[in-house]
Amino acid sequence: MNSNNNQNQIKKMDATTNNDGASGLPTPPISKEEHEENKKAMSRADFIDQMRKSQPDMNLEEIEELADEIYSNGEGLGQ
Amino acid sequence: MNISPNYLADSAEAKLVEIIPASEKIQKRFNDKISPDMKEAISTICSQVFNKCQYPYALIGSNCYIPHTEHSEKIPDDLDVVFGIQDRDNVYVELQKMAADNQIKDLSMEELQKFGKEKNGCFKIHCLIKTENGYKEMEAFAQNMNSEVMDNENKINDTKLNGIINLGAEKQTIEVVLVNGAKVNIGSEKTAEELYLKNTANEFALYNLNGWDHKGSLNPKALQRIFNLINLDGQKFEDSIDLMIKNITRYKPVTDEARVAQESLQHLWAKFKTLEVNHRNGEKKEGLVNHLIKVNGIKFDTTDDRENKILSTEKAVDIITQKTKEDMVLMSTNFEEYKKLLENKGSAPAELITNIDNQILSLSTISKEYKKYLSLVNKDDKNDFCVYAAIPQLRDHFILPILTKLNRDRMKLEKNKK
Repeated sequence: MNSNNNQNQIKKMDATTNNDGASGLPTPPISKEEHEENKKAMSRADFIDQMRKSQPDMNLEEIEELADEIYSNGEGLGQ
Repeated sequence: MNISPNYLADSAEAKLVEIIPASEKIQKRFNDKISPDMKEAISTICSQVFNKCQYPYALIGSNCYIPHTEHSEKIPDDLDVVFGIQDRDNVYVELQKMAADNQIKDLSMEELQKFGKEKNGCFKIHCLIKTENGYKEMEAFAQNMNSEVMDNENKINDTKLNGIINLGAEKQTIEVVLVNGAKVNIGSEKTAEELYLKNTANEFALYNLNGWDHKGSLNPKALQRIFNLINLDGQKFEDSIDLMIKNITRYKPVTDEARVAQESLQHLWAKFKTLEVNHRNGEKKEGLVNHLIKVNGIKFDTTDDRENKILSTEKAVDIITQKTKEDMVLMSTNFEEYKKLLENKGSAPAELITNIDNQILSLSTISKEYKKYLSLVNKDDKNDFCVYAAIPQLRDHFILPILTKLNRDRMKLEKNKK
């Protein structure tokens, strides 16, 4: 076992109730409300249409899978 | 067993804390697994500061976890201590003396806040301890003890349990290891478990699967806590995730954060269990931990299957947390740049569409990669849960919403062009 692997060090512990929750990670850039509004404003068919225009080389099945995930209210994770 | 001549062994606080010599196994692991530099920092700070305390103190965090787990390649790189608020002034005076002697630097003290809100009466002291090869970071938490948390009827007042580990408020065992000749208190395995459970509650509370209401981002530490918890000596790996979820609300006071964390983890665990064991062609899935280890060319010097599995999971958690973090930052940065372009009235629709198309390409590539990761997750391999947990947040809160927004904007821009 390599016990001197410095790249594999434990991350700093915050052992208190003090927690800013940020940890250097970005907050999701779009709010839940805005995402719901975006979904309402654009149908699944429009989404697929735009994706095909934007990425003509992309496989239609992949585009449809993305559309399924978006329009199934985030329940598409168990793939 | 007394450490310090100042120690008030008959105090109510001390009576709740049992101090015992560490077993040979724990002492040996401490000797073998903690780096010489860290040992130097620990022995210096404990002999000059904490062993003079009147009330109990203990090392927590990685220096407590590592001696209580059989297999880990992690090396603690910082030092966390909890001690009594009654000792705060004396501890600070001793540290000031050390600073004057250049044995430590960057000494500071701040009052802590609960989830960024009101101050909670606990203090964090921070400094860097000089060693032969550089400096080791220390965070020491002055926390309430028995006398502050008992109400008039001599019952524990939950609202004052403001540290994650409150020595002297609840029954605790501390183990004493010898480090370069100095006696050093470390938390027991139970302390390590309690710390990780409570930290997981804090961090997962920020990870709300149902949306963006909380601060929003999955904290990579949370995944490491899950792994550390199931890797402690006393855990049976097969039941460890169910037990961890159950135990998150075991400690008093049960906070809202603990309940949210329990719910989020339960949701994620339930989702994980619905995954298929085989691919559509009937071939058994490789498992995401195995895949990440293989593609990164990592090999461990062991013939023990269990050790190999634990070390692989530990490393895979590091890989996936680093990768998800990088991808979240990349997606956010690109999207912010696009928003600036959008706000710039001079931007032509064609220019904006080109930017959108480039971003969609980048998002689709990231999406494809994580889709592949998801397809490799094997629900029969519980190690995979630790890495799987990183993915839903990335898809649900980053990839899919940005993709939706960009396509909606693209549709509008196309109409404007006509």
